[in-house]
Amino acid sequence: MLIRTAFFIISFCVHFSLGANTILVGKTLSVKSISHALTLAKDGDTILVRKGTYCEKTLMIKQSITLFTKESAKIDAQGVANDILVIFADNVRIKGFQFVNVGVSFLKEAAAIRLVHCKNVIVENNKIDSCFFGIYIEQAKNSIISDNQIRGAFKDEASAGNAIHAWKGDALSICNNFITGHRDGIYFEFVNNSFIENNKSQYNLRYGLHFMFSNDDGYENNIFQDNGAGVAVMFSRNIIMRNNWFIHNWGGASYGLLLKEISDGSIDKNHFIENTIGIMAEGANRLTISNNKFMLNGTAMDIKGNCLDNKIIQNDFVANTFEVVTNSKQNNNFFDENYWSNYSGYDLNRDSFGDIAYRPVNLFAKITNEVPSATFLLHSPFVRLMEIGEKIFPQFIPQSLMDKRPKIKPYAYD
Amino acid sequence: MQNISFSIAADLLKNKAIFIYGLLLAVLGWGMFLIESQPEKTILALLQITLIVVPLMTSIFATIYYYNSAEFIQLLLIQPLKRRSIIWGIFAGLSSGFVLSFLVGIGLPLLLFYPTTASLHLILSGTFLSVIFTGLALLVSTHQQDKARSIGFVLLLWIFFTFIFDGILLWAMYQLADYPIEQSILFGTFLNPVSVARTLVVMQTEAAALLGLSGAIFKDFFGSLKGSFIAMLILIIWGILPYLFVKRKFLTRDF
Amino acid sequence: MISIQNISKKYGAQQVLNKVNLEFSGGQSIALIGPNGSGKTTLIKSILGLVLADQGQINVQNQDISLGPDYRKIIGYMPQLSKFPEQMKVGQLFSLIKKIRRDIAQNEYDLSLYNDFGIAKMEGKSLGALSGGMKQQVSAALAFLFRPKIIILDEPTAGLDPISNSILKHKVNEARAQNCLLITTSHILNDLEEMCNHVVYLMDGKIVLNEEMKFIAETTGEANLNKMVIKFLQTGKIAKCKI
Repeated sequence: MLIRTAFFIISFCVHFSLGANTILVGKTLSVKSISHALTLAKDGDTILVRKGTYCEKTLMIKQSITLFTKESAKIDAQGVANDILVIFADNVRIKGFQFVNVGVSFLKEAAAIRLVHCKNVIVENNKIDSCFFGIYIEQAKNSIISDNQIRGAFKDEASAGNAIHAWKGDALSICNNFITGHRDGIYFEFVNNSFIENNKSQYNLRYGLHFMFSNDDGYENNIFQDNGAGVAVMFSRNIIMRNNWFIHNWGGASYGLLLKEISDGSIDKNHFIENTIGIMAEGANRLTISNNKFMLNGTAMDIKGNCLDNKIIQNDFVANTFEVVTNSKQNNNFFDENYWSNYSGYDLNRDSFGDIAYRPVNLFAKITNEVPSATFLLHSPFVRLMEIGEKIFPQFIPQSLMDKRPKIKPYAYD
Repeated sequence: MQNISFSIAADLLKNKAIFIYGLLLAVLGWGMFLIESQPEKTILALLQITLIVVPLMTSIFATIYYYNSAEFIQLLLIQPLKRRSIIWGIFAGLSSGFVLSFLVGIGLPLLLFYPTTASLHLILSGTFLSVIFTGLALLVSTHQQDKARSIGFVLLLWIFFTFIFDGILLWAMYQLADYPIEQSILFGTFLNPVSVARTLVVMQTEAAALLGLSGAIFKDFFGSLKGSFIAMLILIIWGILPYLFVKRKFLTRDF
Repeated sequence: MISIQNISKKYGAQQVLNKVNLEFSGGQSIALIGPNGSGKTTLIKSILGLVLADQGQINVQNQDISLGPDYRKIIGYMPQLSKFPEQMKVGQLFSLIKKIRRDIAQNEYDLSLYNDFGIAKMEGKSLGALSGGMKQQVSAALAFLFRPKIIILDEPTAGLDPISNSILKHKVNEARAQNCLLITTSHILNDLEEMCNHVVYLMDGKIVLNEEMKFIAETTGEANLNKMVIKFLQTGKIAKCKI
C-alpha cells in the first residue's frame, strides 16, 4: 500500500516538473464546463473545478490528468442512464467531486465513474449519490479507490446497481469507503491480488461484499452491517479475511459470511455478531477459521457436508442459539480448542481446556435443519428433554464432529 | 366488598407454602446469577425454570391450598359476603402470592444483574404463567371433590402443557413438512400458554434464529412489536378464561 | 322470620329434601331433629345459602335469600364439628371476621360467650391446636358475636364440657327471651328439651313432625323429649301432623 502510494506521489511530481498546466473551470471563468477543459488538457495537466453544479454528458478522460475540486463541485447526470466519467487513460486522479443522478437502465450499467482498461488511477474523496452504479472498474490495474462515500436509495434488488463494481482487475486497493443502499456494496468478479480495507458497507440490498471467481485477495478491518445477506465469497481461492465485523445481518437467507466453493483462505480475528447465520459454508475447503468471535447469532456456523479439511480453531462461540449445524452424519473438518459457551464440562487438570470433549452440534439443530419451522420450539422443555435423551443415547448427530479440547473461558477474557 | 377480597388475599399471603415456594425460586434465581458469570446463559436457565417449575409449583400449591382451606371458605360463605367476592379473593390472593414469590425470587435478580428487555419479557411471562396456572388449578379443584384426583389431574395438565403439547406440534411439523403450515403452527401455539410465554422471551433472546425462518408470517410476527403484543394478549386471555369457569362453578355449587 | 316454601334438593339420585315447607318466627327455639341422613344439615345449609335448592324459595324477613348475601347479617351460625383453617390463630380469626363484619360497630359486639368461655386466653393459639370442645367454644362465641336475630346451631353441645354446655344453653334461652329465632339440631335430645320450645322432625327429606313442644308433651303425656318423640311417632300421630 504505502509503496504504491509513494509511487503515485513520485509520478505526479514528475508530471508537474515537466511544466504541466492547470486549467481552471468555473461558472464565471472562461472555461465553463469540464468537457471544455478536457478538450484543452494534455497529459500531466490538472483541471481544477470551482464550486457549482455541472450538468455534463459523458466525460471521456483519455489523457493522464488530475481532475479535482476543492469546493466539492457537483456533476449531475440528471437521471440519464449514461456514465458521468469514463477513464481510459492511466495515471488519472479524480478527487473531491459530488456525482449525482445516474439513471437506472436495464440495457446499460451506467456508473458515476468508470475505469476502462487503465492503470494507476486514483479515485478519492468523492461523494456519489443516487447513481445506478457508483464506481465501475473494467480491467483496471494498480488503482486505488479510497475515502469515497457512495449512497444509493434502492428499494429492490433487481433494479439496483453495485456501489463499487470491479470486473477483471488486478492489484486494486479499495479502502476507507462508506457504502450504503446499493445492491452489492463491493462486487469483485475476476479480480486478483487486490485488497479491501477499512470500508463500511451497510444496508445494501444483497451483499455488503461479494467475491466471484477472484483469487489471492484480502479484506481487513471492514464493517459489514445490516446487509440483505451479509458477505459472500464464491468460487474463489486464497482469500484472506481478517479483523472484519459482520453485524446484524438478519433474515431468511441471511448470513454474516457465505462461503461457496472456495478454498485455501483464512478467516481470522473476525467478529460475527447477531447474524441469522454467522458463517454458512458450502463446498469450502482447506480454510483456517481461527480466533474469531461468534456472538448472539442464530447459528454460529452452518458447515455443509461438502466442506473438507477446514480447521476451526481457537474461536469463541458465545451465546449463539445453535453453535454448529451440519446436514451430514460425517465430519471432515477439524475443530479444536474453541470456547463454546454451551459447554458445561470441567477442567480438573487446570490446563484451561475441558477434560471431556464437546459436541457442538445438537439434536435440535439437526431437527431445524430438516424442518425449519421447528425453530419455533426453541427452548421448549420438550426439546430439552429430547436433547438429554440424545446425549445419553446418541443416535442422530455426527459423532466425529467434536472439539476434544474445548476452552473453559473465552479467549476474549484471557 | 373489594375490601373483603383484599382481606382474603392478605390472609393468603401469610401462607407458609407460598413462602417456601418463594424461597425455592429465590435460591434458584439468585443462585444462578451468583455461580454463572454469563448472564446470557443465566437467563436461558431461568427461562427453563420459569417454564417448568412455575406452572408445576403454582398449580400443585393452589390445588392443595384450595382443599386445605375448605373450612375457611365455608366460614367465609356463611358471612354476609357475595360468593363472587370470595372466589375472587381466593384467586387474587393465590395469584398475587405466587406472582410476588416469582418477582422476588426470579424477577429481582433478573432486574439487578441483567436489566434488558429480554429479562423484562421473562418477568412478564412468569407473572402470566403464575396467574394462568392458579386459574387452571382452581378450575380443576372447583369441579372435582377429591383432592388426590385433582392433584393427579393438575399434574397431567402440567405435563401436557410443558412437554406433550410441543411434542405433538413437532410431530405434526414432520408429518406436514411439505405443506405451508407456518400459520397453523403459530395459531396452534396459541393454544398452549407455556408455549406463548416461551415465545415471548425467545423473541427477545434468539430473534436472530427465529428470523431465519423463511415464512413471511414469522417475519411479520417476530420482526415487530406486534408479536410481543399479540403474545401478551393471548396470555391475558389465558389468565382470564379459566377464572371465568371457576367463578361460574363456584357461584352455583353446594358446600 | 324464616319462610321455607316448597324446598327440594337432590344429590344425585338421593332426594335429600322433598318439598319442605316451614315457617319460623322470632321467639321460637326450634329443635330440628331426625335420624342420620334425614336432611337436617342440608336444610340448615339451604337457609345459610351454602346449598342451593333445586326448587322452592326461602325468605328471611320477607327477603328472597337468592337475591343477595346481606340477609346473613342477622344470622349467626355454629357449624357441626367446627372446622377452622389450621394455621390461623384464634385472634386472627376473630379479627378477620370482625374486619368482614364492618357493619357492626365495635361497641355493639356481644362478648358474653367470648368472656364466659375465656377465649381471650386462647387468642395466641392456632386453631389446629385447639381441642374439639375449645373449637366449639370459639364457634359459639363467633355465632353470637354480632347480635344475630337468627341463630343456627348444628350439634352445638357435642364435645362441650358440662359447664360450657350450660353456659351455652343459658345463652340460647336468653336469646329466645329477646325474641330471637333459634334453630338447633342435636342427637342429644335432653339438651334440646332445655332450650327449645318447638320441634321439627325430619325423615327422608320430609317433615313428619312440626309442633310446639308443649303440645307434644300434652298429647303424649311425657316430659322427656326422647320419649315424647318416640311415642308421638309410634302412636301414629304422624298422620295428624301438618306436613
